[in-house]
Amino acid sequence: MTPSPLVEARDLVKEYGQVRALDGLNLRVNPGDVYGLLGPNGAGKTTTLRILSGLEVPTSGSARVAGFDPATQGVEVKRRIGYVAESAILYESLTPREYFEFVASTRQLNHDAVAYASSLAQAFDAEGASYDVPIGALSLGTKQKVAVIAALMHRPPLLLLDEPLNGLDAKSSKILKELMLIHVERKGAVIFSTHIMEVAESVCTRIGIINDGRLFAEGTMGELRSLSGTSGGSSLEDVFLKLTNEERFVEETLERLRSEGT
Amino acid sequence: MNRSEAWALSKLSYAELVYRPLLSTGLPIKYAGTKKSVHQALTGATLNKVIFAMFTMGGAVFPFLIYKLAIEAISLSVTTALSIILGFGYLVLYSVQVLPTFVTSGSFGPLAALPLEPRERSLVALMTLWRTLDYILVLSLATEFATVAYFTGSLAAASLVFVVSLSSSVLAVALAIRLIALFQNRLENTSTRGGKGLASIRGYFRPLLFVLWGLGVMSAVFLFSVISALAPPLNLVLTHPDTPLGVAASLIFPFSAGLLVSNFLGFGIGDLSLVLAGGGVCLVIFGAAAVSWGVPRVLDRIVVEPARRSQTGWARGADQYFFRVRGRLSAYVRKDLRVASRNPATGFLFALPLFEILAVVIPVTATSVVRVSALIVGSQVGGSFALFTAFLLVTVEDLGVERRTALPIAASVRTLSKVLVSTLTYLPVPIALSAILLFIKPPTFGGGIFIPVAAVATVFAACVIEVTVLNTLADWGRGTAVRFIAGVGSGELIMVIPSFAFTVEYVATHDRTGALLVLLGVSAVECLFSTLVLRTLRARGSNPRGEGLA
Ligand SMILES: Nc1ncnc2c1ncn2[C@@H]1O[C@H](COP(=O)(O)OP(=O)(O)OP(=O)(O)O)[C@@H](O)[C@H]1O
Ligand SMILES: [Mg+2]
Repeated sequence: MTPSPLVEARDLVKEYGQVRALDGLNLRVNPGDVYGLLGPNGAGKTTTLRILSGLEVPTSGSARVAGFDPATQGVEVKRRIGYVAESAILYESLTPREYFEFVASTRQLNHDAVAYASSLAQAFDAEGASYDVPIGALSLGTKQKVAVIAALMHRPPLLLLDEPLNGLDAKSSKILKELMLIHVERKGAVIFSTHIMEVAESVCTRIGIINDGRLFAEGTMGELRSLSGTSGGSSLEDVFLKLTNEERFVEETLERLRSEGT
Repeated sequence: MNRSEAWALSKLSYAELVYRPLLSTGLPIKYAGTKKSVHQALTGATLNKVIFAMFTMGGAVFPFLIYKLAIEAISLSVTTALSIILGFGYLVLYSVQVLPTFVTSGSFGPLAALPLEPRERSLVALMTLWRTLDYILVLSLATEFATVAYFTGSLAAASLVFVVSLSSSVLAVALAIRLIALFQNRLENTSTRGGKGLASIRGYFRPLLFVLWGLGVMSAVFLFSVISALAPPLNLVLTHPDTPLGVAASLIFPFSAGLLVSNFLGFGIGDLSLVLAGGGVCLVIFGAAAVSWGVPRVLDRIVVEPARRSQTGWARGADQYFFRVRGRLSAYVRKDLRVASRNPATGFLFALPLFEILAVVIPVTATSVVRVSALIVGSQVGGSFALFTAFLLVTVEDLGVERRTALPIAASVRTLSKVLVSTLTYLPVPIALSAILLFIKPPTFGGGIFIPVAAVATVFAACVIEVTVLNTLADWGRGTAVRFIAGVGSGELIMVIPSFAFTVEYVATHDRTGALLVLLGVSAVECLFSTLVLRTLRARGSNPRGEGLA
């Protein structure tokens, strides 16, 4: 018996004016999955995550997240997810402490959860001296840490992380990756988009490749390798380029650039 | 880089300036995904500027209308001075609201990366500033000139006022930029000074900002009562150049310009006044010229090279990272207050009660007995402040954080928070009025004391409707000016209805008690209606489109 999925999306279409960002996307993620969304720039990864988190309404198609429809039951969905946006969106004039207070109060965290959030903040040492400094004055990576802590503090069943490692230093990246693994051990699920193939390869249980608003390849690392017909030792990068038909393009372009350079 | 290249570049940064904040709100944009959406944004910005220009034009004309129609005993010199002051106040108001996007949106980031000389960058920044203010400046200056020419028939007077207005506009913009730069510096210095920066804004910077905002708000909301309260003492001061106060007033630019205009028209003002006034006008022209040199430099510093400081962390125990959990609504209200108090465009909100009391108390105490009509007008004026507060709070929220972070906040909480803060800023009015009625001057009608109290319910209802309208229009992608007019307009409507009902009933029956009961009844119905609206919002809270509602 397959467990009931935490996320199920059917035929999602999203149009921005004449741009078709999603073109019939189907997605299914179960508890225990770390699902990596890969795809070229503009493929529709951010759009997918925004629809799942109830921030965007699809033009057509439907989704269910933790049993709720994000398009009509946004607040219910938002209670059960932690979302890290592509670029950290925060109140720049609040300090991290004030922002966490706001988020924790909105989510009505209990004492245990607050203790956990404090430990998270300490673990990332998100701020050190800057815990009481306006977020607007923080560095890129520090802002990202604030956004990550705010998304994790209530220990939601589902994490939707849009390029969460953006700007994080090595130590914090490591911590976040480990946290993702701990999270799925406890029967949570993670969907995260990334362009860093090594990360996807090391933490994902399943990988979905999006191109032009469609999911056109999906599976474990091994399944993707055999799908692309690459050899056993090939990296995800090779598999990805092969699957998206960009391998030849990259080779030819590099060839041309090399000869033009001389 | 020559001027025309700089001009072309400034068009890019201006478009960026207009478009970026729009994108960051996460609101639906018409023609999204096409180049047309940028065009649409620029048209919207132009519309905003034109509408605001109309306010400044009204401000320039209004004192002269009062003068010509002789509604108040007001001398020509005071009229001219008020007209210039209003233009100044509006311009500062607008700039403080709009120019922070220069700093925060990062629109000049791409420019900073280009290999441009600092002087070239300043030129582009300055031209962008011009593009931001163009219609407002041109239209308000032209109106000032035309108004003075029309009402006085003197070309010399009109030209003089034109030059003074031009100078005062430069000073107004410079002042706004200075204020923003101060805020910006404070925000950035906090990291090096261990969190003291924001606190020191409170110390010396806020009061100044309050005065400016008060000026703007006063001119917008209760121009008339201020003129009637201020005109007589001003007249007195300006006609006595032998007193220290008179000397000071003749030297201050709007009054000196007013004095000179009177002199052009043959109202003798005495030799000393004439000399002082001439000196005052020269002073402001030289001042503006000097400041206009400095503006590009300040602009450049706050705009193109926003400093970024790196933090060095040090190890601390987990308890150092502790924070409190509060109720949903109270956490939300605190957030609103904090964000508003740290934004140059809204920081003044906290001084509003003071201005309100002045605005309400001066007219009420000007007469020997407190008439019911004065109480009604006083409550209305106070309520307008509350509506204005609500508008600003919603506008600050437009930065769109909530539309883009997936936090489970119901639309009703967002609305209620803004409404509560706004209603709170109104409370000093009934308190002040009650105090006057109880301890200083009895009302002509004992029940009158209920009027400002009942107005609390009406103000609450008006704010609910206003915020709901504002957010609905935002969801539809309407621009700031349209939202301002429709939102504040609908709020004003709600606020006028009870007084209107009172008046109709009183005219028909000449029974004050009956009319008062009607007023109380209508206020109660409005309050009930607004709670129904809030309930609908709570029901709609789970819809992302609906959630945009606060
Ligand atoms: N607000 C918007 N208005 C118009 N078009 C949009 C908007 N948001 C996204 N798009 C378009 O939708 C498509 C998908 O964008 P999306 O941000 O989902 O891509 P992505 O896979 O996240 O790319 P990246 O790897 O660069 O982050 C792109 O063509 C983009 O231009
Ligand atoms: Mg993306």
